[in-house]
Amino acid sequence: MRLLLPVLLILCFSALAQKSEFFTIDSIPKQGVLLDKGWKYQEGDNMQWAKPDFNDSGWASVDPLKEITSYPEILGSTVFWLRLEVDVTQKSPRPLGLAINQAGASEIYVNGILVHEFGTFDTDPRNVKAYDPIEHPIFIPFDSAGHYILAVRYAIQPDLRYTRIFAYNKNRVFYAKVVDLVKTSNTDRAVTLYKFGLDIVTLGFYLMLFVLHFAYIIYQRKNRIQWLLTIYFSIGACIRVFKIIGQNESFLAERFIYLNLSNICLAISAVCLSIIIYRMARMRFDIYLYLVWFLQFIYCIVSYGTSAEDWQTKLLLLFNIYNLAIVIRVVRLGIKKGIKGFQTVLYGIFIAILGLLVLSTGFQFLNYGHSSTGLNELRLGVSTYLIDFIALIGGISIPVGLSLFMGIQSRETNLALSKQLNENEMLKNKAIEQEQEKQQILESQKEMLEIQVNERTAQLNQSLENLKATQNQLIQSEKLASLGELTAGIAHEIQNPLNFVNNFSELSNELIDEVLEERKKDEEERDESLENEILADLKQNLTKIHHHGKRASNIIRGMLQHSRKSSDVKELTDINALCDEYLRLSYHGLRAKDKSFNASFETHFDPSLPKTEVITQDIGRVILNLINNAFYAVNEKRKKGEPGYIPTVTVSTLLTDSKHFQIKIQDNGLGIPEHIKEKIFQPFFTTKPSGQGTGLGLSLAYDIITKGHGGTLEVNSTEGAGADFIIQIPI
Amino acid sequence: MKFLIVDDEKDVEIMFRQKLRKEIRNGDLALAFAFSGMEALNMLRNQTPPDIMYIFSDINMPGMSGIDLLETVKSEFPEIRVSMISAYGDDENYTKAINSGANGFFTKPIDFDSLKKEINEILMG
Repeated sequence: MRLLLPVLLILCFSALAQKSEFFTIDSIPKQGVLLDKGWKYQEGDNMQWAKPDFNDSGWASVDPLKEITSYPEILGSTVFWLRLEVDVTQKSPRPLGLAINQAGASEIYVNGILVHEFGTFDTDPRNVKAYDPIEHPIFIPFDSAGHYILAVRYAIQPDLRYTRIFAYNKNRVFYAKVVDLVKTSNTDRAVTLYKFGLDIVTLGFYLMLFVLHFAYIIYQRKNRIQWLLTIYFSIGACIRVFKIIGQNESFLAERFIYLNLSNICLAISAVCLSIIIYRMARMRFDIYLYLVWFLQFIYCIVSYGTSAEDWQTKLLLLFNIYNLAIVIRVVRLGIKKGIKGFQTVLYGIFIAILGLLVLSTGFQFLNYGHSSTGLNELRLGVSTYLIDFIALIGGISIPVGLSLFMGIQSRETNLALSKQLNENEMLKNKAIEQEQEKQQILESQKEMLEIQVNERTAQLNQSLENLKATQNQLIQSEKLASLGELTAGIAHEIQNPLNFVNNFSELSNELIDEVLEERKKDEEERDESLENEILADLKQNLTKIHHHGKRASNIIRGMLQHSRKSSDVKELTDINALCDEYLRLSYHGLRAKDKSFNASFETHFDPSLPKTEVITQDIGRVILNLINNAFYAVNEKRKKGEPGYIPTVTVSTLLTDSKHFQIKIQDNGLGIPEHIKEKIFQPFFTTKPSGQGTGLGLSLAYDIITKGHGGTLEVNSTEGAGADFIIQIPI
Repeated sequence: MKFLIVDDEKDVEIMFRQKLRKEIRNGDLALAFAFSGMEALNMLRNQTPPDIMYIFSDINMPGMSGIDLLETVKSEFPEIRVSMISAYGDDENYTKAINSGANGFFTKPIDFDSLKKEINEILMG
């Protein structure tokens, strides 16, 4: 307040003194004093122009606050000078500084004395390096009251593409503010730190996301979207890195390179984002997407080295609006498709838009802004923090949305997987259950089968028993049958001896009558020779009666033996007699059965054959059977009616050596075919028509000879000529 | 007059010789014996003409049966008469014998009375 009145007075004076071309500084307000008028400009280079006493009235006026790109003549020059007259009315209690923005290399002279040098100043343009101090204040010796001539020796770096993208400030020719050195330095530092902090936070966020998604890639190499996200975040980080470096870089050439790089990265990241959105929505790339890429490409070119803003910015705005529209469209399609979690991307986009709107509103209305009013204009106040915060949120909302989406996708995958796992588990359990069921069924079936098998076995056993019984019956009936066959023969056989017994007894009676007759006669008429003859005859007759009687009883005995069950007892037997008896039995038996039967038989008995120990009945049965077969065979051949054929059966015995004897039964019948020979000893095998033979005869015979007596039974035969059956028995 | 007896049992000869002793002694007849059909035929064929007038034959003999002998004799020596003696007195045998030209048929055991009667008839004429 103390200063107010003098200030007002001076301002009046200043207003009056407007015509004079110099700048008056009375006091330094908080925001500093902007040296915005009274500047003079002269192209060329002369060290005299720094001197305060130089007359610069011939020089042209210039407004150095304008952008350098609006002065093509300045751009075209190599070196030029700026001069300003500054009038400090009061001694400043505090040191003063100058906060500068410029677009070239410069030497600052105050009253002819070089105070400061910015960048690399050189009269040779090739060595000039433009430098912008970004309003970091430098000390200016304006402390005492008086007149000062501020001269700026300015060199242009040729071929410098001035760009405004992301720059804190426009590329003004010479923007200078007189400020409180210390305070402003402090503020400047604070603000720089704050901005740097903000940028670092954003950068850190992107780096973090990059690392996160990179980690995902290591475990999920196949996930293309993760790859894309990783690339997107890495590019996002690059954008920020380049921006930070660029914005804090004073050397203009380098600054522009970084800012342009950041810009290109921005374009690439926009392309990346579009691809990511398409991929996430599982949409095929279409013409709209390719248009987006094309526009981004145009954007890169257009924004490169833009200093004038308007139409490029408007164009860029259009591009961005178009990109946004495409993105939103795809996202909506994705949501419609039912891709879970896609909404988060949409929300992220909306928040980003919101943030952007807030930021631009803040730019326009809240006098927020780092760039247009200069760094030191920044008030680090609540509104700033709020807007910055919202802008930050907006800036990270899309990445957050994308990451959340990935998270939701991952969860969906997990859910699907665990559902699948559960299904698999269920299926497995079901399979196990079914397996168990199967096993149970198999078990019960097995049990059933075993029961059935046992039943069958029992049945089979029963059948077997029945068969054995039947077999025994058959054998018995075979015996009975052969017995039956014998009966007729036996009847005849007995008949004969009995006849003789009768006849001879009758004869003997008659003979005795004759003798008695003779004895009644007188002595002389008696014929003694006749009586002797008759007595002799009587004796003979009685012998004959005895013989035939015995014969009959033998036959009966044989018959009885035959019907009785077989015994294992061996008895001394006359084999020859046995053969003879059974031969006759067989013959007469067959004759009785078949009237047409007729055959001759011969016997050749070895007289040296002793009585041998055999099971009489069994051997008899064997002989009988063989002889029956022989008679049958010759009879069958006889029926064929060959002329001159005499059916003959021969029975012979032979003592082959001291250990063995042999019975041979030969016939000249039909003979046995080769293929039948091996079967004849099989039980139930017969060549007789059905019902006529049991087929057991030879098999029984075979068993009796081989098992019962340890002998052999062989057959030799020529088909059509006859057969020989040879029994060999050890004694 | 010679009679031929054909039977496979040898004791039949003894019986006949005893039974017809008187007649043989008297020379009314002579007896010959054969023990098989073949033997009988040989006997007949050995003598031409054979002196055997009458044959008594058993039917059941091994080799040539009595019926076969009957038929052969009837074809070769039609003037010789043949009578059958058999243990089987069934109709079939009887018919067959008579149809083949047998003079008579006698069953065993031999009833010598009827046999003697037959012989006497033959001797008479």
